Amino acid sequence: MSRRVEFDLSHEDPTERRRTNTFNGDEEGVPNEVADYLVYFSRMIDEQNVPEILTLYDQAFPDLTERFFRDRMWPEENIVERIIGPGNKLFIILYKELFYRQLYARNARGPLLVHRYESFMNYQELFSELLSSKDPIPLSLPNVWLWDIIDEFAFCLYKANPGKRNADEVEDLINIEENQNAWNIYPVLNILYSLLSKSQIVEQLKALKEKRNPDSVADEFGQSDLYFKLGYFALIGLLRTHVLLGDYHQALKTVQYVDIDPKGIYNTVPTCLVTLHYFVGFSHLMMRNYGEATKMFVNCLLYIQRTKSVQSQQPSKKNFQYDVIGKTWDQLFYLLAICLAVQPQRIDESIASQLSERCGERMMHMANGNIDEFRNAFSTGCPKFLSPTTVVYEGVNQSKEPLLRQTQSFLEGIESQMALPVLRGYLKLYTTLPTKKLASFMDVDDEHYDSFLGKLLTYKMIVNELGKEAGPSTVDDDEPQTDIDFYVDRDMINIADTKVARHVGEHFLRHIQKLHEVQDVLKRLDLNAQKP
Amino acid sequence: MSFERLQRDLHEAIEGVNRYNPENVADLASCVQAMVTENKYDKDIVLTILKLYQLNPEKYDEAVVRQVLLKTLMVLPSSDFALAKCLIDTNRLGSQELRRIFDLGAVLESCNFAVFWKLVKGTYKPTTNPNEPFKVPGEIAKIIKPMVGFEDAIRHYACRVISVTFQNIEKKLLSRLLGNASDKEVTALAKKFKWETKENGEVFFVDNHEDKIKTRNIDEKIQFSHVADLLTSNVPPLTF
Repeated sequence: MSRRVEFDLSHEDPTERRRTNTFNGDEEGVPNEVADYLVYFSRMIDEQNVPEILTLYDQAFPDLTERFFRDRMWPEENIVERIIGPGNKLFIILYKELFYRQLYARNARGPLLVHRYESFMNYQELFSELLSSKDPIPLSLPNVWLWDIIDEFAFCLYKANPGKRNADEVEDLINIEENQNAWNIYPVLNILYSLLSKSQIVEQLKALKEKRNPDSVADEFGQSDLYFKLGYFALIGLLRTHVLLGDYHQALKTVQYVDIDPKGIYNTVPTCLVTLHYFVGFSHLMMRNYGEATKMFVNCLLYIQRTKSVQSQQPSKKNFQYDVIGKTWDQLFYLLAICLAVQPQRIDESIASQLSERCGERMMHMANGNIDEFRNAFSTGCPKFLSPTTVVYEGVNQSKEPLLRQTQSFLEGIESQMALPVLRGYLKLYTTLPTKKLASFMDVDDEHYDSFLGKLLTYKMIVNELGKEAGPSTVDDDEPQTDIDFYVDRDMINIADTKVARHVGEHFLRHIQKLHEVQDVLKRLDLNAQKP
Repeated sequence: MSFERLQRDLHEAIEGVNRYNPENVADLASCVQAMVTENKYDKDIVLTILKLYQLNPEKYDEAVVRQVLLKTLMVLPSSDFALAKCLIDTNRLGSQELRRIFDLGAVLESCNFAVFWKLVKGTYKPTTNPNEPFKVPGEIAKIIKPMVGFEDAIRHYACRVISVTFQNIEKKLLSRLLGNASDKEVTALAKKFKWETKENGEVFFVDNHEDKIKTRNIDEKIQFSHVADLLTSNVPPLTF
């Protein structure tokens, strides 16, 4: 149940009076309650009352949409302008932001081209207001809204997908293309980078990391809360854009100063946290740092698992916002399955059991070297890649092309590591094993013996993460992450395996806790009331 | 202009959004050329030029792309080669010459040094398998030749993976993995990686892996502080 939000309109203020004098909501088809909402909203924006704005954004907007605008659109901007009074450009832009996003969310097949175009231009207008101002704009918005703005802005998949267009739109698109001002990757990058430099976010985060005062490297813009946060979210928007363009090194470089720890701002916005972990993990996967990728994916899954109950208590959100988290949750398992098939590791038990439930069979196929299984898991788990240059007016859906390319480069990497799972299978059975004997198990003759050694070398290269740029990872020495390891002494393979006793303690703790909760519930029940 | 000069200028030119300025393509390409002849490397520069080729297809120059890919192979085991591959569009992959470098990359990425050295020395015998990647093995030696320091780079790569795999390694085998390197070359590399000679120089002691790689059983440890809350919470059993 979504709760209704009451607006406090008791104060007599000039805006209020103007509204009642010149505007009669019912005539325009705008319910009075909505008109009141808009007036109050614009006043809260003026007053920079963040907690109140959050409620208006997060709860009241979906609530009113549900009640009044289920079958029609929110009022056009000129009507809104008459309701709230003139001279409030910033509020109109922000209102349009909500207006278009609501439109996006409603149409499963995506809105009309003209709406997409206008919404894009609206974002451009918003950012140019923010970026070209001489002084920091006095505006405060809740973190979640700031993130939604950046996230939505960096999302521009449309032009390579002609399947969703009609004939008129093709013509419109040609016009837009000629003007070259929408969805070309350059303006998007330009704005994101401008936000970074305006907010001096990179310098500030670097200073924070070195335990210096970030204000010492920032000017008035960088010190403004609004610009700092926009810059911060722009970093994550840029991370995502880079990944969608297949630029993984640049992606990780973008967020190198974003500390992945519980104190980061991203923690305040669940979708932002999930985006950050997913795309950083994915970049590591493509760079073949499977260990690092595994860590990211598991942490993200744990987070979603922990907060799932909270998320599902906000049903109103679902109408309004595309269920990013739910979708990513599924994708993460596929990617995690890939990582663990190539480089098995011990992970959190609750995640491990869910993984084997969902992908157990797939992982077995992968471990047996089934390339198609890797392909399937990858194309289900990967993000929707973009091609920055292909504009297609008609014909088949070209947005698949970048996906195929990334899948192929990924699989080429996997192929050279395909012998590893087989190798593991043999190593598990022994504590020592002569190299020649292993070679004969794998049907390798003397002529190809040196090539066979390459497989052992590859195995160790992957497990030791030699490809990683940073120094050796700080793995807790007491608990090796892999269950099996080996070294070669001349022509003898010495194998060490690590057996981990089941963590029964955790299991009992969880159940004791659960029992207590059940007992609490039972105690509150009035048993007599149940009797007939 | 020397590599260092070009590198310094370019790093200023490709900062932030300027990374996407197509006008940098020419300078970047000459910098790649300088890397090839002076045996230098800069990751940001090679990846930037590939990105620009992607965004500005009319400027695409396959010769430079090939040089870039070979340079990334020279920094294995880093993942630069994999990264570079992701920045090349599908429609470019028809090229035989590009394909050949991808195949060479696959050999190196799977540490198949035996095949690599055969290709370099011209002793590789193609199989009759229709999927045989190196039908004309002589081409590989030709591609590598202009790349200054390529073979040394691969030896260095081989030594790094050997370091993490072997405790002791026989000189004969080591020499084979390094492309039948002479005693002198082997000794020089061993010294660089601080491997000690044993048994009249017939065996090298690489690293004491025995110490770190051990069979072990890990039992669960529960710290009192973790359960203290639960133990002190006083929930009496339910009675009806």
